[in-house]
Amino acid sequence: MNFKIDRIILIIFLGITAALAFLPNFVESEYLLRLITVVIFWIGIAGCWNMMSGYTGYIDFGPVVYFGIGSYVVAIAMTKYGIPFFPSLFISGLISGSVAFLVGIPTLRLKGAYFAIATFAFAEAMKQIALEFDRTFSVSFFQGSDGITLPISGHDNSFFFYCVLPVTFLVVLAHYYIEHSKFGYGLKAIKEAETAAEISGVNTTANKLGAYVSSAFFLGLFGAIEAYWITYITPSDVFNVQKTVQMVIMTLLGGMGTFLGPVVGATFLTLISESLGARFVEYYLIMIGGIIIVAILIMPNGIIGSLKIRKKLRFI
Amino acid sequence: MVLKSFRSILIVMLVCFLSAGFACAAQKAAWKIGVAVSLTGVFGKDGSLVKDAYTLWQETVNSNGGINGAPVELIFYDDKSDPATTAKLTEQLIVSDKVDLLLGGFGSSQLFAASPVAEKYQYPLISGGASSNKLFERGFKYYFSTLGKATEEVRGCVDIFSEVTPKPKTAAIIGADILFTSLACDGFKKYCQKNGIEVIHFELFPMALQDYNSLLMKVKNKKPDVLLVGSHLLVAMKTIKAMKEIDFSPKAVAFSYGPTVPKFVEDLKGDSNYVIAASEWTPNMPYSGKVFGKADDFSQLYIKRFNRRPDYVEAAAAGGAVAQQEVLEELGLKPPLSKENRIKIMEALHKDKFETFYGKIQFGADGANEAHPPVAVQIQSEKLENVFPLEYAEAKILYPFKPWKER
Repeated sequence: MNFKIDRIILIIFLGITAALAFLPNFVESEYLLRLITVVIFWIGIAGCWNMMSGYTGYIDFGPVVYFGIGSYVVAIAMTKYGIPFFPSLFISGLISGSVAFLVGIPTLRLKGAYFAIATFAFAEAMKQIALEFDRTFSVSFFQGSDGITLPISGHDNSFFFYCVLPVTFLVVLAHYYIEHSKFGYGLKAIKEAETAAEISGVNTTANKLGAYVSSAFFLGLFGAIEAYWITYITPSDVFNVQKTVQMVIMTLLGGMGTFLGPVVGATFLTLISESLGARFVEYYLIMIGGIIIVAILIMPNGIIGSLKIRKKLRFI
Repeated sequence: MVLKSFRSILIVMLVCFLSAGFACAAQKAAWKIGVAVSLTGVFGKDGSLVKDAYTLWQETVNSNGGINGAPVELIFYDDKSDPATTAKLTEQLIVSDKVDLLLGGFGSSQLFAASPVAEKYQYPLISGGASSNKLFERGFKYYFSTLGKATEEVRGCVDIFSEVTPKPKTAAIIGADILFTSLACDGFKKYCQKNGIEVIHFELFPMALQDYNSLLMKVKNKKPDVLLVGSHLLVAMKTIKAMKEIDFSPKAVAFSYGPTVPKFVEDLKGDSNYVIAASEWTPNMPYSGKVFGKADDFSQLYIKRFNRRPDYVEAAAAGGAVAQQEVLEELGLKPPLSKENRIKIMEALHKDKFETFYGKIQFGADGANEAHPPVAVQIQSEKLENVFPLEYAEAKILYPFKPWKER
């Protein structure tokens, strides 16, 4: 029964992605296309956090650091070394992933609040490094608080739609893999009882590192895309803790450690914010806060998480 | 009888229908002007000031019959101080709300994100709340700023020292490490060099710095003649409090931003005296123009409407709206605007000179306001007084700074 549902959901997901690929041909409004791109963008970003924290239970308070690294790598690669966007994008992901590998080795041995504090501190430290590096070493690299202006792309929103869609597709596909692989079972075992998992033969450090690095790789890609889209970055903007908060809330709302949680959470929150923000400029944040509180009170495991428990489903 | 009633109902319905039609027509004839501005987040407070300025402009224009007979309708969206959201909302205003024109919000990062969108759709975008030099270095034709470039805004605060005796020889420059304040520090440095003042200390610190005493003690030990601070309101207030605590009294202290905000004097009271600040506008400047009349008239109107005095950022924002309005009147345009009309507006904004309550506005090829002289003000007896340039000065600068122990 569960196997059947898995397959059906996968087919629906592939079908929706395939249909989305043709969307720019039918959507005439650039704004609507931007809105859809933003929704897909946040599905991907929330998915990155879910990939690590949702499945392992390790609460990462600093994922924005890899987003910021991706933004800076693409900006420096394009403006300083004249590398075109797509190779720069790939380099951004690789460097974000590599930094996560180096940082993950010591920090993933920490547990609970200590891991959360370490990741948060690392993100803040990177922001300060980007701010102070040039002045300290008398170079022009991160350009401190002046920020970096990227080349104006001149592309319309469909270009960025096609940049974001495949990356988010891969993030969601990675969730499917986690749900159906030994690696994923290992992550879930870590969340349930790490010591027991270790005794049972799960290489917990390698599993956690795998999830952490993959999440950072994708976040680096998202950071690079946004930097090229917005055309200007500063440390305060790209390492903004608000981004972390947003991805955490989206995932919690949708359902932590679930396949569809980030998809539902990011879509719901982005669209509701868009809809209320246009009508109630002064009060919409209070209204959104209220909606989140009510949703969490009614569905403490998130929308998908609660559905999963209620319907006794193994996967969604 | 029934027929009569039926006829009456029909007439009433027809009247309602026609009234609704006229109302719709009237609505369609309004100037729809969109603003993506920070109303929450880090710049929420500053963005709200800009919103107030535009609101007052809208109310004033509408009470005078609108622009070329059409009333102004403003559409505000909150960008949450997030540049990506600013870009999205700017596109929403243009594509979805189909606004005729745009006005800029607050913050350089926000305007960096909004301006490429405005450029793409060929919408002029005038801001009164962003002055980062880099905004003007991208070759954009549709971006304009009524403020001067950040590095130039502080010129008056340093040039004034050529008018005092004894002339200061050394300066310490400190500032918060964010875009606007660090550029202000660069400006301080540039004009110190031009005025032959040696910079003996230069330091940027995190915006979230808590311990100002240690920082300023380090500066105090170097005994600079003047202290120049790249600041926002909170930084300026914390600096003065720390200076008093450690008894640091250089010959002068000047800030890039903060002391002109009424809260500075309200909170610090007598401790705010002798402080010099960069400004672009004060109500006692001898400026006047259409819409608001004199600078002081604008200030009085502001006090009446919002129960507080306007800051120069608010004046700059309203000044930008007035400049755009004058172009619409000059070209005799009516809503809705076509793309060709917006191109004409952009060209006129580059070409024309505007005399307004905010002073002269003349946009250069890069969109920066070139006609506006930077001003230095000093707080004397808990009141802001213009002290530089001398032709506009309403008081003589109090120099040197009165030591804390003698106050």
